[in-house]
Amino acid sequence: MSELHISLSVDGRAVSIAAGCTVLDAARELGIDIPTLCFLKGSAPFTSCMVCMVADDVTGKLLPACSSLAQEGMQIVTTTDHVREARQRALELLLSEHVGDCEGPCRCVCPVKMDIPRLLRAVGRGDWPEARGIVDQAQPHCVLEQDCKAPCERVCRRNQIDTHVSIRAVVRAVAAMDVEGDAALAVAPFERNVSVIGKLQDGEKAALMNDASTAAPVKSADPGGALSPDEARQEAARCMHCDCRKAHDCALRSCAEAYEASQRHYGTRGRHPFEQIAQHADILYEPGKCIRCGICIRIAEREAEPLGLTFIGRGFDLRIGVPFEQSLADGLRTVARACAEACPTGALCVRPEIQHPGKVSR
Amino acid sequence: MSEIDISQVDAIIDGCGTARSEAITILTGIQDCFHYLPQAALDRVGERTDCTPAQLYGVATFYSYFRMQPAGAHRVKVCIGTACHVKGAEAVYDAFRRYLALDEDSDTDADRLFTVEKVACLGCCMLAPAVQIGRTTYGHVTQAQVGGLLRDFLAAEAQRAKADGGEVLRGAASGGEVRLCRCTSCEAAGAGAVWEAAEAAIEALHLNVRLQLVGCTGLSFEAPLLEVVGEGGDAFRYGMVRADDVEATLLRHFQPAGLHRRVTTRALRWLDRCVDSFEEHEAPFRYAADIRETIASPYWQRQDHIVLDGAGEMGPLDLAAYRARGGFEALQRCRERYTPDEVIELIVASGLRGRGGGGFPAGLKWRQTASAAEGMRYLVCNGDEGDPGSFMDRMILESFPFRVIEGMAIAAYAVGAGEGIFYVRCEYPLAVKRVREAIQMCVDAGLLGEGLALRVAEGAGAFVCGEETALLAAIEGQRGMPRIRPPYPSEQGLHGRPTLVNNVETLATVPWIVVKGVESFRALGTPGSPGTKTLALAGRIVKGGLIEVPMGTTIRDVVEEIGGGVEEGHSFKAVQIGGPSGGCIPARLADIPIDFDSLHSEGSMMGSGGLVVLDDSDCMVEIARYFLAFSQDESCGKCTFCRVGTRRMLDILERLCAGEGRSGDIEDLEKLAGWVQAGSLCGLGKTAPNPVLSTLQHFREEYEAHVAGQCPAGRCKALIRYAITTDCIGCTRCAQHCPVDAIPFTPHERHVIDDAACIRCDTCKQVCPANAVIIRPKKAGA
Repeated sequence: MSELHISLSVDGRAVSIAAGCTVLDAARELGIDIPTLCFLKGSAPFTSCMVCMVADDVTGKLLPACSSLAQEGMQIVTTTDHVREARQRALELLLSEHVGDCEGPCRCVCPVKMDIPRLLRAVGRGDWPEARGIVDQAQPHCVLEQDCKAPCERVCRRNQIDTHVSIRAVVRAVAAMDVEGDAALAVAPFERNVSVIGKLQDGEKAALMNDASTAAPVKSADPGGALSPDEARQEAARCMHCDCRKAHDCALRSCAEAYEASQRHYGTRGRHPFEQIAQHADILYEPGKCIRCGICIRIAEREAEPLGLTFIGRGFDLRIGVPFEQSLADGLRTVARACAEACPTGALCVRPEIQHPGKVSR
Repeated sequence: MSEIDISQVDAIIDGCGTARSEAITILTGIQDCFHYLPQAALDRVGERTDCTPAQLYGVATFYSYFRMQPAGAHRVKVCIGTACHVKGAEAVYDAFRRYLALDEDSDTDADRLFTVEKVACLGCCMLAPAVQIGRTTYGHVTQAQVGGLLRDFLAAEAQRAKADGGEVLRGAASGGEVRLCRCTSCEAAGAGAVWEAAEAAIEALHLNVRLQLVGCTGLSFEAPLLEVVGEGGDAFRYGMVRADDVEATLLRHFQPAGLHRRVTTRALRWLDRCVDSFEEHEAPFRYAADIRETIASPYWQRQDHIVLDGAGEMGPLDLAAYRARGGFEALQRCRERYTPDEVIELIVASGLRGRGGGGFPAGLKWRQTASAAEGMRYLVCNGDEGDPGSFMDRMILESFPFRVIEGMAIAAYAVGAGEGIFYVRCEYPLAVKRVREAIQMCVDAGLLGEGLALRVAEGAGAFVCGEETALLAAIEGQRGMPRIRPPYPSEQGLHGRPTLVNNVETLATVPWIVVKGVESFRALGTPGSPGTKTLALAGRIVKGGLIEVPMGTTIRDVVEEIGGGVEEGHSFKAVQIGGPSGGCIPARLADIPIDFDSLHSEGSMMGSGGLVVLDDSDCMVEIARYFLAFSQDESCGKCTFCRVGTRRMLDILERLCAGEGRSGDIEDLEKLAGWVQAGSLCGLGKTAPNPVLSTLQHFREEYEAHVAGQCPAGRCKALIRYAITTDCIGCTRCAQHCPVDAIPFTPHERHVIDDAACIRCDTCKQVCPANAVIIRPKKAGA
């Protein structure tokens, strides 16, 4: 095909594009933004998430932009209510099978929305400036001394295992320390909590413990109950990291925010159980957050991983895993980080120890 | 893990080759050999072939034919196709599980003898419920028979030293002829035993009769059907023949050689009859000899045969007989008189529309393929008939393989294809075998000509592979996940080359059009849908079977005239047409013609032409739930609207059937159905909501009743209870047959059902001789 060009319009603006290009290419040519989740640049479109829906005014039909070939005379619209609702519904369906919290329950109930999970992790590593920075940012509105009733401790999921993390004591220990807060620290604002695990089933409890110390609650040596820095570190390490490791760079969450997609719209009956696979030193895999876009499969295939990943099963039970249920460490020998970074959700994410090299405490 | 013999795996690989595209064939070989896929065997395949571990595991977990866990020595496949479903297949499945005492999470009995599983459709809908054990299919299975069936199978297995009977001609050169079909469904009705009995009788009585294997008549409701053609050429048909009847039937028409033998035979027969009358038969087959079906009955009168031409007369693998009826004339005519373009224009002019589903004009597909890029082109015959409730492709492939091959050869000539592939479901082993043999016979006879290779690829159990892009992925040895179209297969198909994909029936129609001409074809059917259509008639109907009628015949004609209406004591409620992609059309609209456009306008579709008749005992919400469960299970899981959307629809339907419906459920269901229809990637997802939308359109009041906790048809287990009326005669049959001992044994007294223990399996109602068991709504005030 030599220099064949296709003329179409996107949102009323004419565009001419080489034959074989997609509607998404045409829109991007015009600088029109269309959200995508399953699209991976440089790889053939897979067309699974259906979040890139647009409509052709000529036929009135909805089309996935990422893989629909641009055709002569198309009149693509990307912003109508119909298109917007289609995207919203696709996102809501994805959320209805999504298992895993965006934010930890402790932060959700905290009146000043202190980023408690992040604070606990900083304390756990002994990163005192970061910990102090988080406390300081919340401090102006926070009444640590008298009025804090520690609702965070009531909802702490560790209660379902043994006893909650003594969050208030850890926060007080950080506040009492003679250390400068990290002034440059940017704490992400609290956004709507998109997804909630709820009560853990028996089989699910162990899954959350991968990143947490199994130790019993720390008994303070101080008669007044104040924790020493070391005790605070030990106690903070008991945090299970219920919040999503990609809470703030998750494409699914940001799309859900943008399209006001509600997880409750289709209910969450009949989800798969919560699961966390920690077989790999660099990454964690939470299948409950996977949207089956296959980006990781495509990356592993492209980079010639010997074992790689594959789709397993079909229908609602379709999942992504290592062939023959082998270890994730064997499946992804060289491209684990690339897969985690390309993953549009928190299903595959780089482990915190890897994100903070040299600061690992445990 | 048990050791396996790797040399067997090597032999399978050697037989299939090591290309990536052979993955499914190799895995099928391993599955057949070991009854599951042992890890060691898969590792070996990984080592020796170009298949990657990711591909092998992805494929092994996609297709339902494969299993990763060892299975019992014999697999019991309970068909849960539509017709079997409405006739109680789930209860039969449960009965097998109970009989073999299977745990909740196990499908194999403790002795590892039997593995019980559900199968989408065995294509024996008129013998519903059907069960396949090993390679034997049983029809009309009841819960009470389950144990007997397994024993019967083991006994037959023990004597299986005797090889299968030959397929073609038997007996002396003829005085008369005895014809019998042994296709999958006739076998299920007992044709094998009838065949053996006929063989034995002809030999023992020295009858001057030829025993001829023929293609199926489609008269499945009478199977096994024995046709006797006397010396004068007059034909008599005997329906539902049992092996015991065969000798007597033959003697009615033919004289044994010699006077002495004649006399002794008569005497012996008389004696036999005296003894027989003391025995009560409880065999799996129905008894009714001596039904003479006349050719002039409405069943035949209303039919026009194009693809079924020669039904009941011609041997399926009798190439000479096919040619004697004008077979391969069309191919020869195309090659000698027409250019490929002329053949295409002929098909375009005929208005032939694809018989597999959507009804896309076949000629246009041919034209698109022919005008695509030069070089290698492929032709694929889509025989992945996965719709529960249809079996026409199986019957056509089993009974008329040459007709399909001729259609393929003509299409290949027209579009310039060098390789033709029959993609046939592995659930149809006889079809696979006969097509393979028929191809070989055509090659040997030099009929295919230079430059066309035909072969069979077996499907491994995935309904979605009826979708053409998924089908092509399967032939390439991949998971059957569809991709977006365009590009269409006619531009980029198998291995990226232009590929024509046509359904079995479409191809089987082609030779007739070439020989008889466009005018004759258009004279049949309607202007928008010319020609005929085979319909698989099953469900709650008196005469189920395969029929072929002109397009435009009304539903009423098919159900009442041809099918003989619904069973006595019930009223015709609706027909489900087109399987999981189709919809339900209520009895009050029965006068609409059966053609592509009329069905579409009523929210249904032709699909492949499965027509399941429903009566007043069928619950439409439950039927919708059944189809959604099927689509959900068969969804490839790729796109969001299908994978999650159908699941959320099913959640609502399950809630309704369980009596947990809420106000707003119906509206939510309707809206979500609309999104799944609009947003899904392929035909499976786009049409999956049809059974729901069409029942909502025509039977909304039943949905509303379910929200209120009532099932008007008395089918949904959670909404009903069983009770015994004062008509009870105290015979104890119900107590004896109850699988969960929910009915105390109280001879000569009225029996009582313990509602808490009752599993609503319906057995008591079926066995009660006094019709004293009734179904009541669970909630008062129905």
